[in-house]
Amino acid sequence: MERIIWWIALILFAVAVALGLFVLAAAVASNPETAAFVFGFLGFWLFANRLIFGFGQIANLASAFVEGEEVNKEEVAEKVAKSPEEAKLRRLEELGVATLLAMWRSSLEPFKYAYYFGFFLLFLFAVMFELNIISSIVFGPVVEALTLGAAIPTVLVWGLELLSGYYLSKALIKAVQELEKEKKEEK
Amino acid sequence: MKRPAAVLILVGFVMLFLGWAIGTFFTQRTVAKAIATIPGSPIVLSAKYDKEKHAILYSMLNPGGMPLTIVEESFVFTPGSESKEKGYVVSHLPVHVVLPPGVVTEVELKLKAGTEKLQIGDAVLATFTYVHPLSKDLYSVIHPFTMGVKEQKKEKAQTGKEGGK
Repeated sequence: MERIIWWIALILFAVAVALGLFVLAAAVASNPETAAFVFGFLGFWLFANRLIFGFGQIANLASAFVEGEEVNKEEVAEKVAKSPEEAKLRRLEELGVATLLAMWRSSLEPFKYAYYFGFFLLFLFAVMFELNIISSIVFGPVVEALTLGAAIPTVLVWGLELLSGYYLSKALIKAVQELEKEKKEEK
Repeated sequence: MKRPAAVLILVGFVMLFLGWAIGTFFTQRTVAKAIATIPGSPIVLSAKYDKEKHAILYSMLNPGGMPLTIVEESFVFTPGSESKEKGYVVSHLPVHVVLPPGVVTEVELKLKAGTEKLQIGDAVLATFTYVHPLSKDLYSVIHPFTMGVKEQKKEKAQTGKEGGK
């Protein structure tokens, strides 16, 4: 039974991929700019995916922590360490939620840097075409369309980064306050 | 750090501008493609007599999106009061000058060899016959030129179908 379902899923996936390729090919044939726009959007989303969902989840969990809701620490530790063994060795279970979220956010930093660098290169290329520093009737509009498509996930990444930074700083302030409270009670 | 509402408004504004840019880009591309398929008719911006070459140089603008090709020149020379030359007609002078779209191109009209240099008051009525890639029809532009008279704004260049093959 499981096998049949697996095969059905695979066939559906293959059909979806074939259909997608067909639609893209049709778009390329009719309008290269539209195709470039779609490719720029999908391609850059592929690289932005980890950042978008990472920053989004950090913002979500941090705001939940600030509001005093229960946050599953193991779930966050999984994102910081690659395996439960590594999490154990690094003693992640001893750390607080806010600390783990901060670690997660700084682990996303190199991906963010690489993503912005890639976007900047494409943007630079588009600006050079726009200002006629280099010119090509064929590639100019295509590069511009690619950049516009890529700009959508980039704005999302940027917005979620700002948002996660805001909630994380709130969460850290709350964590420090809790720590000081505990110290006073001990005395 | 900014408040979340401020962040969302900021991102919202950036998204709005991005959407605007995308819409503008695609509209512009569609319009540019439509315009590129419309042939214009050449406009003579200025005409100048070149004494050494004994020719008249016309600056022609092609305002359309398709290249035009001048295939034939002909002109009528009418002497002014100061000239000793007699009037003459030169017709069907085959040439091949391509006018690229959106650009001013210089077109040379050679006067009859061995005739006198132009004097003030001499008139040359030039006819340029051109074709464009969409049809086999011949079109023409007629430009009156009078030596020594400043180019007037009311240009008499006329376009009209002369007839197809």
